Amino acid sequence: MMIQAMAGAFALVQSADPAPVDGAEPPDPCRFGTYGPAADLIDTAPVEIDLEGLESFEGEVPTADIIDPCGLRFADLSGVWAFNGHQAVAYHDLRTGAFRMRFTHVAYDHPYFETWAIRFGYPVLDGVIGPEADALHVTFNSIYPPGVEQTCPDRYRHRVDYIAIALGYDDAGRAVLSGVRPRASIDAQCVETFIEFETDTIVRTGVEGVAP
Amino acid sequence: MSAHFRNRALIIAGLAVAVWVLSLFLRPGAEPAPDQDQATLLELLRAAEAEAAWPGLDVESAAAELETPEAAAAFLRSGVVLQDYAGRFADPNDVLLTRGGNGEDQAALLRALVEAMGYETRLREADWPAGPFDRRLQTERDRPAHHAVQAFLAIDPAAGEEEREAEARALVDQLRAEVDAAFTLLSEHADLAEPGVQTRPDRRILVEYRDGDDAWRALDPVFAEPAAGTRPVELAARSDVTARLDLITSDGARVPLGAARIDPSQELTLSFAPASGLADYFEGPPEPADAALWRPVFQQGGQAFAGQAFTPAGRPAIVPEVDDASSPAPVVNAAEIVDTDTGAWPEVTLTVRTDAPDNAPWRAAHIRLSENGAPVRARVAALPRPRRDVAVITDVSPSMTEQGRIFIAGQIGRALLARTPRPQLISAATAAGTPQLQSNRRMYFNTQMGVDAFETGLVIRAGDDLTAPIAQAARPGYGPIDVVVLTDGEVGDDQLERLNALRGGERRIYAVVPERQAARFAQAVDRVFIMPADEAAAAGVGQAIAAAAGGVLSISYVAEAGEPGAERALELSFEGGPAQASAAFTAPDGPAGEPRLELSLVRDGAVLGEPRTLVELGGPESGWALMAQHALLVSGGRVSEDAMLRAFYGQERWVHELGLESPGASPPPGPDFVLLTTAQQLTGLTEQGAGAPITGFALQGLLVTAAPSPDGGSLSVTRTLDLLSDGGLGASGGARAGLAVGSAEAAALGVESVNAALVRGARTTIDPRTPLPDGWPEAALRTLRGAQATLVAAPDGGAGWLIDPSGQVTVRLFEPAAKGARVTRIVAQFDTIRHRLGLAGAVASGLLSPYNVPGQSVGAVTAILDFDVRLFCASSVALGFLNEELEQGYTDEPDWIGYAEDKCAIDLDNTLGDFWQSFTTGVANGWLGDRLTDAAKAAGGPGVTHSQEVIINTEAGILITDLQSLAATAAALHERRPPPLPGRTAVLASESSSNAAQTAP
Repeated sequence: MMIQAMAGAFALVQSADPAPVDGAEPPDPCRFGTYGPAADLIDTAPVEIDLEGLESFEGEVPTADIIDPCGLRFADLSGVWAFNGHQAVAYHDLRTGAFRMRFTHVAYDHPYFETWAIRFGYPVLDGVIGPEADALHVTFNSIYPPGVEQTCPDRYRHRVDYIAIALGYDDAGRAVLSGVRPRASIDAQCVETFIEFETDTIVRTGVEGVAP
Repeated sequence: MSAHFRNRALIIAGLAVAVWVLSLFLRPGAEPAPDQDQATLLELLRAAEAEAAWPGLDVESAAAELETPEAAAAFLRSGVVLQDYAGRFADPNDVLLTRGGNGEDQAALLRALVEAMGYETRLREADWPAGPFDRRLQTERDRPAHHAVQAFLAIDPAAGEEEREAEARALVDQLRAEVDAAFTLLSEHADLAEPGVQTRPDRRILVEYRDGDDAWRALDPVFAEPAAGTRPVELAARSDVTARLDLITSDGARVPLGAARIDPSQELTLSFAPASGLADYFEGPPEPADAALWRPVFQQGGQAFAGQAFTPAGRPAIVPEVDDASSPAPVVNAAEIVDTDTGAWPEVTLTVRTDAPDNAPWRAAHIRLSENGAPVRARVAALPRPRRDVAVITDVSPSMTEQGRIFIAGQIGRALLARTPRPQLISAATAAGTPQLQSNRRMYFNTQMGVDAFETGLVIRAGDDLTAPIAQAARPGYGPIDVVVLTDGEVGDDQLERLNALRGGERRIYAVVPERQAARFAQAVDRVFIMPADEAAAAGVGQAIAAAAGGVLSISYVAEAGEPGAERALELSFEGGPAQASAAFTAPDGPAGEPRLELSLVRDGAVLGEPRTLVELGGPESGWALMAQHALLVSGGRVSEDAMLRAFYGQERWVHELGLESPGASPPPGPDFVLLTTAQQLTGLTEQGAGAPITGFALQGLLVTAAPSPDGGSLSVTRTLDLLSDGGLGASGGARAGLAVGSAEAAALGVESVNAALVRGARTTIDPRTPLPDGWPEAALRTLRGAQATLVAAPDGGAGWLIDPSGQVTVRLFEPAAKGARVTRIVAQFDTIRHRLGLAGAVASGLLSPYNVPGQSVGAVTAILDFDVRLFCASSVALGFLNEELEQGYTDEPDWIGYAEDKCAIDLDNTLGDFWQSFTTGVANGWLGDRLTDAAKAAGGPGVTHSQEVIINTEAGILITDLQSLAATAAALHERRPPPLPGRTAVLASESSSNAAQTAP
C-alpha cells in the first residue's frame, strides 16, 4: 500500500536545543560552527512508502524533510561516529558528496554478528550529502531475520530510505545526523508490513566517545 | 671493484667520450680552421682555466697558494658564494670545485685550509645578522688570462653590451609580468601564501686558529668582521643526497631498483640498458618486447652502478636472465598452471605448481611455452622458495578513517591472509596509542579463522605507534617473518626511525601506504606497496604482498598484441620431464594499473622536493621512453663566477687538447658547465620572478632529461628541465616564488612557461569538491586523489597550478609526467628509422652538443649520424656486458670488443685507430677518471643562452659581468677548434656522401 503523507513538521534537532530558561534567549543552534547556508526543506516531496499496514498507523506521519540549519552538509563529515552504540566510520567524499558509513569490528558475540553476520566493513549507511539540499538523501542498509534469506532472498538485505534527515549538533558540540525511516516485518509470502517509524540518531563521537 | 672491471669501465668511458668528441668536431660551422696558432690558443685556454681555478682545486694546493689564514678567509669571502641549505653537504674539496657552500661547509673548508698551513684550530658559532645582508661576493677579480683569450680571438668584451643588457632586462620584465598575471589570477581562487620570514637554515661558524703568539685569532668565511659573542661548536657529519629509482608495479608494489649517492661536485647520470637479449635489441625493431629486461645504470665519477632489472611492462626481474645451459633441468612429472595474471598486460605471468623440488634451479631454457600454438619466449619471474611467516600490523589510529583507508586496509589484509596458506604462520596486531595483539604467530587450517582474528582489532583507537605491535606480533627468534604494516603513514619521522631499527635478521618489514607517503617510507622499510585509493584494487595489493613472501614458480612472457576479449590458450611443457599444463585467459584491454619508474632524491631519510615519474611503463612507448638519458645535479643553487669560468675553459681546453693530441689531455673536474650555469640561472630567475631575494633552506635538485621518440619518419628528442627540488625557494618565497620557479624553468630552456600558457588560454578549476575529470593524464589524477589541493589547469589537464591548503603554489606539467619545461626539436631526420641501433646513435649524436650548438642543425648531425650510431652502439654493447658482469659476476672475460665490432659494424682497431689509441693511452694515464658518459650532460646544452643568463644573474644580485662576453668567446672558440683526426676525416668523407642522399629533407 502506498501512502502519501503531505503534512506535518518534523524537527529532529530539537533535542539539541533545550527549552530556554524563562526570559532567556534560546541558544544558537549553530554555536558550534556554521559551514554554509541553512537548509530547511519541509514537505518537499510526497513520502512514498510501499508497505502494508501503514494505514493503521495512528501517529503523525513524518514528511520528507531536510533540515540543516548550520550548513553541515558543506562540512567534511568523515570520521568516527556511533550508530546504536557501535563504532562506525564515515567517509564523506567532498568531490561527489558521497557519504558512506560502515561498521568497524563487530564483536563476535554480539547479535549483529551472531544473527545477521554483520562484521567489519558492513555499510550501514549510504547516500549523498552535498551542497544541494534537495539532492540530499541517505539510505539505511537493513537486514531481515536470517530465515528470510531462504524465503525471500531478494528482500533479505534491503535498503530503506530515510524520509526525514536532519543535521545539527548535540549539547557537546558533536555533529548529529538524525533520520526517520519506516521499519517493517516480512512474512513467508514476502509481504512487508509496516511496524513503526524509527528514528536513528547517529553522533560523530570521535575516537574516545565509543566503546568498541 | 676488480682491476679488470675498472679497466673495462674506463674503456667504456673512452668510447662514450669519443662519441661526444666526434660530434663536437663535426657540427656546423666547425669546418677545419687553418689556424696556425692552435698551440698558442691552447696555452691561453690553460691559463684562463688556471686563473679561474686559483688558488687551487684541492685543499693542499690551495693552502700552499694562499699561505696565510687571513688570505684563506679572504679567498672564501671573495670567491665562494654563500648558499642556502641546512646541514653539511660538501667536503672542502667539493667547495673548492663549485665555489659555493653554506656557512657550515664554508667553515669546514676554511678550517681545512688553515690546518693544512699547520695551525691548530677550533670552531665558534655566531649569530647571523638580524637584518638582511648582501650575499654578493665583494671583490671583482682582475682576469688577465680570460681577457688574453678574448684578445687573441679579437673579441671586444664591451661590444654589444648595452644590447645584451637590454635584452636581458626585457626578459626579466617579461618574467615578472608572467608571475604577476598568474598571481593576480590565482588570487581569485585562494588565499595565496605570502613570503615567510627569511631565516638562514645553516649555522654561522667562525674558525679560530692559534697564532705564533699562542693567541686565538678568529676568521669569518662570510663576513669581513668576525662577530662577537661566540660560543664553542663542532661541525656536524655530512648528510649525503641519494638518488633512488623505484619501480611502481601495476598492482601497487614499490620495488627499489637502485640508488646512488650523488657527489656534491659531480653530476650523476642515469640511463637504461638492456639487461638481456642484446642481439634482439640491436637487430630488431624498436618495440618494448625486443628487450625482455632493462636495467638502470647510474654513472658518476668514472664508475657505473647497475641497478636491478625490470621488464618494460613494469615487473621486477626477480631472477636474473641467465642463459645457463649447464644447469640441469628439473624433473617434472606433474604440473599445473594455478594462476594467470594479466595485470601488467601485455606481460603475462603464470603461477605454476610442479612436483619439482623447491630448490630446483629453474632457467628459461627449461621451459617451453606456447600461446595459441605459437612458441613464445618465456622467462622465470620467480623461483619456488621457502615461505615466510606473515604478521599483519594495521594502523587503527583516527587518521585511518580518511578516504575510508581503514576499510581498504581491511581488504588488503583479507586478501593477503587468504593467499597465505599453511604451513605459513600468521599473526596480527593493531597499532594505535596502545598496541593490541589479535593473534600470536600460529597456523590457521581455516583461512577464515585467520581473517576473523585479523579483523578483531579493527576498531579505531586513539594514538599513533606503529612499532609497538611489531614487537608483539613478530618477536625475533621464531623464524623468518614478513611484517606487513598497513598504514596511512601519518606518523612522525621518529616512527620511521624506529621502524627502520626493527628491520634485519629474520624480520623484513613491508609498508603499505598511500602514494604520497611511499617515498618517505621507502627509506625505513624493506619494501613499500602503495595503498590504492579504493577497495576494488585492494585484493591485488594483498596478492602482491603474498607473492613477495615467496612460494611458487612464476613464468612470464610478453603476449602478442591482439583484440581485447580474445581467448588465448597456453600450453606449457618442460625439458626435464613429461608433465604438461594448459590454461586459457581472455586478453584484457590493457594493464590494470599504471606501472612506472620513479626517481626521488633522499637526504637524511627525507625526500628532497617531490619524487618524479621518469618513465611510464607498460605502454607501447615504454621502450622508447627507456632510451632517455637523465642527468642530475644537486647543489646549493648559486655558484661563483670562477666556478663557471673554470668549467667553461676546462671544457674548451680539453677539446683542444684532444684535437691536438696533446699528451696528458684530461677533462676538467667538477660539474659540467651547462648544468652549473643552469642551476645558477634557475635560482637567479626565481628571485627575479618573485621580485625579492629568497633564502631557501634545502638543496636544489636539477634533472635534465633527453628522451627520443619516433615522429613519423623522423626522430624527435624532447628535452625536459625539471627541478626535483627547488631548494626551498617556493616554500620560503610564498606563492609568487612558486610561480617564479615555473617561469624560471621555462626560461632556462627558452620556451613558453606554463604560467604564460595558462594565463592566456582556457582554464578549468578542480577543487576538493570537484569530481576528477575523465581522460586526464594519470599523473594529474594521482596528484589530486585524496588531496585537499586545488588545481587550476588547462582543460586537458596537461599542465596547471597546484594550490595547496596553505596557499603555496607549484607549477605542474602532467603530460608527460614532469614538472618544469620541455622542448621538442627534430635533431635528426631519417628516411626510415631502420632499427633501434639508429635510435641509440641519434640520441648520442644529436644531444652531445654543449655550448649552444643549435638543436635545429639537422643536416650536419644527420651527416655524421651513421658513423656515430655505430660508435655509440659499440659503447652500448660494452655497457650491456658491464651490466651483466655486475650482476652475474662473470669470471671469464667475454669478447665484448669483438661482439661490439660485429654487431655494430665497426672496426675499432682501424676506423677509429687513432682515437682508440689515444683513449687507451688516456685510460692508462687516468685521464678519464671523472667522466664516463657525456650524453646526459650535453642534454642540457643548447637551452642555456649565455648572454641572457649571466646578465639576468647580474640583475639578481650576483655580479658576474666578466661572463657577459662569454657567448662570443664560445662562438669564436668553436671556429678555432682543431680539425678531426686523419682517420676520422676519411671516414666522414664517405659517410657524409652516402648519407646525404638518404636524408635530404
